[in-house]
Amino acid sequence: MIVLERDLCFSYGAGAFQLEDINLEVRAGEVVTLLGPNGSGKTTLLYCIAGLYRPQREQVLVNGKEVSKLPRREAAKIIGFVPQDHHPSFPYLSLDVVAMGRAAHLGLLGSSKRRDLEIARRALEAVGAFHLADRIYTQVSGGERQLILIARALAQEPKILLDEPTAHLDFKNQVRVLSLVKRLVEERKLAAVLTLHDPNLASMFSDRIALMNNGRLAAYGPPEEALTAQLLRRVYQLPVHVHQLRDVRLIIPEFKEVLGS
Amino acid sequence: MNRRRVLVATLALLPVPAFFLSLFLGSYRIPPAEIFFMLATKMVNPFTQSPWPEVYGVVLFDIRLPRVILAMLVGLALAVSGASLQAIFRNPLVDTCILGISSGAAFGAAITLAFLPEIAVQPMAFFFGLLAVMLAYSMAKVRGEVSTVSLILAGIIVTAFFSAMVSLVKFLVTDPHQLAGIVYWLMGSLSLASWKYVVQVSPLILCGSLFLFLMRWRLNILSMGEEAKLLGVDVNRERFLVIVATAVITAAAVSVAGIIGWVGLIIPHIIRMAVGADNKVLIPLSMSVGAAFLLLADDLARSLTSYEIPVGIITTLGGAPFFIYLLRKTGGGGWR
Repeated sequence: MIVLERDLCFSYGAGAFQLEDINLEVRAGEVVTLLGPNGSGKTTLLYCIAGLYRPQREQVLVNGKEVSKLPRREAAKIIGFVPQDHHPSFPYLSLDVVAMGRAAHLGLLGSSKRRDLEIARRALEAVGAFHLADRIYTQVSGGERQLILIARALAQEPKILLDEPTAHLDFKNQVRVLSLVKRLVEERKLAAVLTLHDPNLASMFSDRIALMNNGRLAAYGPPEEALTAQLLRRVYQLPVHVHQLRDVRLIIPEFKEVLGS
Repeated sequence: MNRRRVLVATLALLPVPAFFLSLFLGSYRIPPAEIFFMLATKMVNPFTQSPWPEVYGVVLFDIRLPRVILAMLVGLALAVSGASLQAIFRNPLVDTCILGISSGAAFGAAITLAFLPEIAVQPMAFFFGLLAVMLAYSMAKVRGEVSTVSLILAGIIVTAFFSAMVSLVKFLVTDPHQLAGIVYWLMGSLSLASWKYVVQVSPLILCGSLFLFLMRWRLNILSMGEEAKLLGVDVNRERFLVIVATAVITAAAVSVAGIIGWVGLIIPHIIRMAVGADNKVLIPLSMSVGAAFLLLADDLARSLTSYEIPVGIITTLGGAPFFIYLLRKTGGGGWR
C-alpha cells in the first residue's frame, strides 16, 4: 500500500474551492485515474498527493510518511510528477532535461555526474525516446515532450508516478503515453495516479477509478463499479450509455439528447 | 561534438591572449618581450630589485595591471550575474539591472559625488546597490512566496524610483564639475582603476562567482520555474541564494566601474547561441568570455582616441551590432 488518504480535506483560497472527505488508497503496481468534470478537484487532489498543497485535516500518507511535511528533496525521491502544462524555458538538450530528475539525489552544489546521465539515458530508453537524447527540448513535438517528461520523472527513481497526460496530445500519442505508463507501473511496481478527461481511456488503462464531483469522491473502484451510467449521468450531468465490449467499457454520450435539451 | 569541444576550449581560454594584449597596449610603449620578462621576474620574486627602467615598472604594475585585472573581474561579474539571473527568471532578456542594482548604485554614487565629498564613492555605490535589491525582494514577497513576475515588477519600480532620485540629485547639483563627475560615473569607466579597488572587490566577486559556479547545474533546474519544486528543489530558498550572490557581485562591479550595460545581457546569450543553453557550460564560459570582452572593450576605450571613452559606450556600441549578427545567423539559437 502506498498512498493512503484519510478524510482528506483541502480548501484553496477563501473557501473558493474545497476537497472533502476523500479516502483513497493506491497500491504499488496499480494505475488509479482521477476522473471528473472540469473543476471537480482532480488537479488539486493530485497536487495534494504531490505534497505541493497542504491539506487541513488528516493527511496524504505515502509509505506511512506525510508528504506535505517532508522536505521537497525527500518528497521528490518518492514522487515523480509529470506536469500538464509545461512551459519550457531555455533550449536545453532533451537528455539534460531528463537529467534534471536527478536533482533530489544531488545536493545544492551538486552537478549531474556520469552516473546521473547514464540513469537519464536509461530513463529515455525506458520510454522509447532514446533517439531524442540529443534533440533540443524546445523543438520536439508535444507527444515527444510528454515522453521526455515521463523519463525525467523516472530519473527521480520514484515510488509513485503522478501524471496529467495533456489534452493536447493526439489520439495516437494519448494511447501511447497511457500504455507506457501502464507498462512502467507493472514492470517497476510503481503506483500511478493519473488525471484524465476521457472515461473510455480511463476504463481501458486504469485498475481503479476515482470519480470526482465537486471536490468529493462520487465513486472509487474498478472501472465496472465507478463507471456506471447512473453515476456518470449524475457527475457529468450528461445522458450516457455504457456498453461492455469484451473487457472494455465503452461510454457513449447521447448527443441527440444533449442537443435537444 | 568535437567541433563544439574546440569551441568551448577556445572560449574558455579567451582571457589569456586578451590579458597579454591589454598589457601591451597603451600610450607609453613598452616592448612586449620586456613585459613578459618583467611579469616573469615579479612572479618568481615579487620583492626583487627591478632591473628595468622605473617608468616601466610604474606603467605596467601600477597602472596597466590593476586596470586589466579590474576589467576582467568586472566583466566576469556582470556576465555571470546576467547568466544566473536569466536562468532564475527564465528569460534571456534579463540583465543585471533587473533588480534595481545599477540604479541603486548610481544613486549611491550620485549623492556621494554631489553632497558627500569626504566619503568614498565605491562603498556608497555598493551599499545602495544592495539596498535596492533588498527593497525589490521584500516588495515582491507576498505571503512568503516570491514569484518571478512580482520580482521583475518590483525591480522595475525600484529602478524607476532610484533613477528619479538620480535625476533629482543631478538637478540639485549646482557645480558643473560635480555634475560632469556624476554623468561620467554613470556612463561606466575603468579609468579610476587601482590596486585598492582590486583588493576591495575581488573577494566579493570571486566568492560570489564561485558560489554561482558551483550552483551551475542547479540553475538548469531553477530555470524550470515553480516546477522545480516537483524535482525536489526548495525554489524560494535557492532562488534567494542566487539573487544574493548576483547582487553582491554586481554591486561590487558597479561600485568600481559605474554602469556598464549589455555585458550581462549579450555575453550569456552569445554563448548560448554558440554552445547551447546548459548552464553547466554556460556559467563558466560566461565568466571567461565576459572577462575577455570587457577587457578588450576597455582596451578600445583607452586606446582608440587620445582621451578616454567611457567603456559603457563601447560595450553597447560594439555589442549591439555583433548581437544582431548572431541573432540573424543562428535564428535565435533554439528560441521560439
